[in-house]
Amino acid sequence: MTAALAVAVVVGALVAVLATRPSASSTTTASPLLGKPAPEVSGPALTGGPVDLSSLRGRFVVVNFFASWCPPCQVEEPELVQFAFQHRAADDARVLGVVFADSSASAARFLASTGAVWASVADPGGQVALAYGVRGPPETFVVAPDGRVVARLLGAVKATDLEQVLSRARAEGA
Amino acid sequence: MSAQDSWEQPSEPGRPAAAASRGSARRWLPWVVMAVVLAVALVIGSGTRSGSETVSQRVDRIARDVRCPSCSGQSVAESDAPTAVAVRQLITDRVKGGRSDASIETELAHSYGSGILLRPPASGVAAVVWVVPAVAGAAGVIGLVVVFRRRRLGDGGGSGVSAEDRALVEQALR
Repeated sequence: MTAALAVAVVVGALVAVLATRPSASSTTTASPLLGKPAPEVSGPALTGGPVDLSSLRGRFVVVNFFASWCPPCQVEEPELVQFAFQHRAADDARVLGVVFADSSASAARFLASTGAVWASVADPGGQVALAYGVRGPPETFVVAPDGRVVARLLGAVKATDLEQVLSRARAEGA
Repeated sequence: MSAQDSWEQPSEPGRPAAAASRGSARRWLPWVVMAVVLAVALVIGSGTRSGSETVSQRVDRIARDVRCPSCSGQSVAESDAPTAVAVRQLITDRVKGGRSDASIETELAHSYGSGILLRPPASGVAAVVWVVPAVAGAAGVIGLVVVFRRRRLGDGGGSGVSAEDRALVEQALR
């Protein structure tokens, strides 16, 4: 009787923990870059014209490493589109894509098919990804208006995850 | 000439002293051989970092100590994953640029954290993995010295010959 009660308590606690924890589609995780200046991202955009992360100071920038062959990237793309749309009028946050181990043509086709309208740059030697400590796509970094990295998210991000990051960063004075 | 004198300066010159010398040499020979082998191995091992190392050899050596960011349990020297290729390219660029090994490792750790290095750093908490074997080795050597000394003292005050044996030898030499 006592043993059964103990098992029931443990199982109940486990269910409660699993039911109440936040959605695990993406995970905010540690990075040596947190609180430090974001490494530069610059180059020609896939759709033409120059891209430069430092020129976007004064607003949040969501630096998203993606590839067309990456299923979680396909899952998160509509969420990024929604996030970009929500911030278009105020222009207080932008998305900046970085192609990870993919051809520019495939990446451009992928972005066009999902309705992504933000600038994305190629990273042929993977050196931008290395500077950010990226292990594999999708990985997303949130850069504060002052140019510091305030979050690193692993896996497919959701628009709500990004909004939470922005709220927290604003509360901390970013 | 006393019996004691005859033991220390035998009437048949050379025989007991030579035998003792041969015994002592036999006892120390394995240790001398081991010390020589160890010294030679250290010289050969340290020689791999000599100035004659080519760029390719140096890149390979550094790459063997860097963890592939997107693989499990492989160094960037062993993997062909895109991140491993990018890290090798970064190492090659830095080596050609005249950067030191430590500076290259610091740059990678700046993005990925010290976990990117397969060889733990010799500072901070990770230094324990270097200190513990050194302390254990020193304790082992000290322990062996103490044990050998005690055994030798227990065998007859350090001479290795008991008073009874000495008396027998003196009697035979008369």
